[in-house]
Amino acid sequence: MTEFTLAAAFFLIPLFLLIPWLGKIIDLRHSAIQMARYEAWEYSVWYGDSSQQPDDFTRLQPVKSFGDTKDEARQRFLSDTSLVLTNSDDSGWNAAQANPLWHHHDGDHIASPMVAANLSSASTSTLSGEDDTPDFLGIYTVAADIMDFIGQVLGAFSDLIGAPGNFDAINTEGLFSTTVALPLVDIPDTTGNTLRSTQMQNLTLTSRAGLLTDGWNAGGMDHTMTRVKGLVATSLLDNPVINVGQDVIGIIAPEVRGCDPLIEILPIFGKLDEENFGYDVDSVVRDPDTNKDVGSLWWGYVDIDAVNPDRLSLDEDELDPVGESACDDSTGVCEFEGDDLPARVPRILEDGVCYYG
Amino acid sequence: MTPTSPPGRQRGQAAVFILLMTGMIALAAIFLYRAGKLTSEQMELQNAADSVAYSISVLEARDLNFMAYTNRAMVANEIAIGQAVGLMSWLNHLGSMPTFLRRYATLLSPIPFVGQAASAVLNGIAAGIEVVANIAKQAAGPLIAGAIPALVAASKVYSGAQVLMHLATTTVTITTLNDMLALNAPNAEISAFGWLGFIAHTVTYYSHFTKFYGSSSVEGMGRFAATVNESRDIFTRNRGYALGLPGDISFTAGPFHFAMQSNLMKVGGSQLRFKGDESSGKKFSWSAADTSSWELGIQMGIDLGFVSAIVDIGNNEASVDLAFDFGLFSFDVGLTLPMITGAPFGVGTAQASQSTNKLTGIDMGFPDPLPDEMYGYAPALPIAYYSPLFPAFPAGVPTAITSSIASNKYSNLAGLGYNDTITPDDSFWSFFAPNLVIGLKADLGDIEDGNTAVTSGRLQLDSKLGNNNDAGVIAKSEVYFSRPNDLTFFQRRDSLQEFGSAFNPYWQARLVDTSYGERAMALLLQQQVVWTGDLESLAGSALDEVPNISDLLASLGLSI
Repeated sequence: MTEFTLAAAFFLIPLFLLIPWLGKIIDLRHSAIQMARYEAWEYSVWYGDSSQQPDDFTRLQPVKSFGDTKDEARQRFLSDTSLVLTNSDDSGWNAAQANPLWHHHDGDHIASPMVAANLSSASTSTLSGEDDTPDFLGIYTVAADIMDFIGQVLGAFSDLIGAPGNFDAINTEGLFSTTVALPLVDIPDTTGNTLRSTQMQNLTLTSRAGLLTDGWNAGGMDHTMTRVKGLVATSLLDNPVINVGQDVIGIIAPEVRGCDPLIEILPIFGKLDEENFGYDVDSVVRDPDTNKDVGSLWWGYVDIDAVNPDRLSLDEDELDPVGESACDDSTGVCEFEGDDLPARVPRILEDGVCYYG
Repeated sequence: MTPTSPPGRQRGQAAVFILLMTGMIALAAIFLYRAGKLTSEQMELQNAADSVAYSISVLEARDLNFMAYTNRAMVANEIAIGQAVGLMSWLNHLGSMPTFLRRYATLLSPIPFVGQAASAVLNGIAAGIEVVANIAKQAAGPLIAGAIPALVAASKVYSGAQVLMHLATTTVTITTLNDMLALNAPNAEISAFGWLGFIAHTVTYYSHFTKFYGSSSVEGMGRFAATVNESRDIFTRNRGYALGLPGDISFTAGPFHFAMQSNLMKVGGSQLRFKGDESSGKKFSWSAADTSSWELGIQMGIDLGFVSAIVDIGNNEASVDLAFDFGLFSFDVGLTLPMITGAPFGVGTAQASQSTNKLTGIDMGFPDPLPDEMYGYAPALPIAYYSPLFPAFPAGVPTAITSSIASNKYSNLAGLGYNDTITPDDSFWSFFAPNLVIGLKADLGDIEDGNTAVTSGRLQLDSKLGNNNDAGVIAKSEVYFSRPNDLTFFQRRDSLQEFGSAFNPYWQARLVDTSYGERAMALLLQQQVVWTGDLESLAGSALDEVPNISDLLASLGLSI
């Protein structure tokens, strides 16, 4: 009995206690891995701060600060797994909601937690910003920088004279990486328990993750047009001074008016229809919905709906091309053709841009 | 009496129990440690594989979106050139008007009083227009002539940057692959299966999924030119106006009806056209034409009941229709003859081309007229467009077109190359771009194959390390195009669904599910384990990935 008691006290029971403790360590390690992945992958859909957002994008943009992400990661991966995810998870980690399984062997996760209650987000994660896209040879960065430079120069001029266009798609960064570290709290030694192990001290579970993000895609038609106009020098002509000049000349020469002119043309200009003259001649073309005058000469015009009809379909799930591009050898004109290709008409978009749509 | 041991007192050896318990607990602890390490390593390995696959697809999304921005910018630059050529044509047209007006003034001047007064007015208007036109042409001409080569140069820079970016994406892909491994799982490496997937993807991304069209590509430049023509604004498509003139008459008296109207019509447009045939390469150039003419329309009619007659003069023809109605029978007769029903007031043309493919009068419609809709319906005003009909007036298009702006400074799309994609549905197999399947493996060192200890029976694990004792994972990603019509700020106004091309920057990356076939192949190549599970599902899955074969079987009435 004596040897059994001794063996149980100093060998079997500690070994037996080792199993759940090991399980908890593994569980914590898994959480650390998930936290790292979470922190890095969040930035596949969020911007880290407002400086990373594209300019001239008028709609709400998803921005989540690195601090919020770290707080969310702690709250969502270190807390009781029965808790639901909430929008307030980024307000900070509530240590009282720590995963109740993660306690030392005295059974009280509050009094003897394995993860410290005062664990700060800064101490658990290195997530702090985005790094450069890996480019060993540098060719990629050169090509991107050429376009970025052109975009910046034209964009600066556009800003100066009030013209549209800003090509800011290039982001040679986009690499988010983080290392999550979970320092474990030592086994409490309030009773002189001999189970205390000095090996526990400074035990930290770490995991890391990295991800390249930002595919340079545009967030809608207007955003696309703004970016492309930023590469088209004639967009600079679409400025208030020249627009007024076009409007004035347009009083007697309707063809040179810009989009949505402020001044009406002389009333002597009218419309002839096909019945009388074989084809339509219209001095003023109007938006079919708003009846606004769409003008004629649109500087820096970018038509993103002009897509080869072999990429357009009436069926939204499967591509059934509505047409194709074809060249007429007798006239030398290449055009889109297709029976199901709808006619596009000039109109003014919500943001005041004239457009064939 | 046999002595007995005191109750409660037990004797025996605890060592056996302790040894047994120790062995069991130690085994459990070791198993837990190994399972924990295995799962942790697997998780990190999977994260690394996901990260590698996703990051490479992000790079390709960047590449495709970069193509889209630069392709659209090149198209927009072409439109700007079309506007410039059109503006020059428009100014040439304006500059030609004084010549026409003075000619009419000369014709009217012999008429006493009214004719002389009209002649003086026309001469005055001509002088005014001449001054304005000369100033405008002198100011705008050099600007336009300088703008065209600048726009061409910009497009060539965009084209070059696009090609450079496309090629550079390869180098960055390899660098990123290594960096993502180092960032996520430093002890991992690409497996043989992973290399197969990566190489298959990369080769097909450059050779199949994306396609480069050089300026000598008839098909490619035709597609590009069609996109340019479709991207024209109103000014380059169809610039025109109709000016109502005083003197319209319309009256009815008894059986008689008479109506007369006249209008000054101005039409014009710019066109990107090729000259040459396929054997010599299609050389594109911009040309523009503007014409204006006064057009007269007269309708006269009489209706006496049993007979009616209608005379219609206009649109460069005169027609007479007679209708007889005698109750028992009726019949119609008609005659239409060509007739000059208008007078030209201006003609202007311009072109930007190389001397080797300059458009001539023949190219502009002589002797065979061009379709009316070309040049914004300019050919539909023949009195101005085909000036030989009116030889007394200044030569029209054939002469005017010989003068070009920016001669030899417009490169006819030469030097412009661009990339486009196929539609993703055309992808032959799931290993091919735009899909990317990546496999990683890691030597777990002290973690041995858990299955070697228990190779059969109920304790056999389904999931195990490979026969090479490596942990292995696979991940799959794709670069995909999405322009959702249910979001108004993405929506096409024609409500058509747009599928992927390198002309709109809506490419993104995402992780996608792996298939049975990919998983089975990964097991074989990556972990050297022959999967003998659900072969039926595997066969179905493998064939599903080859849609042509599935469709073929279905068309033959066979099913899997």
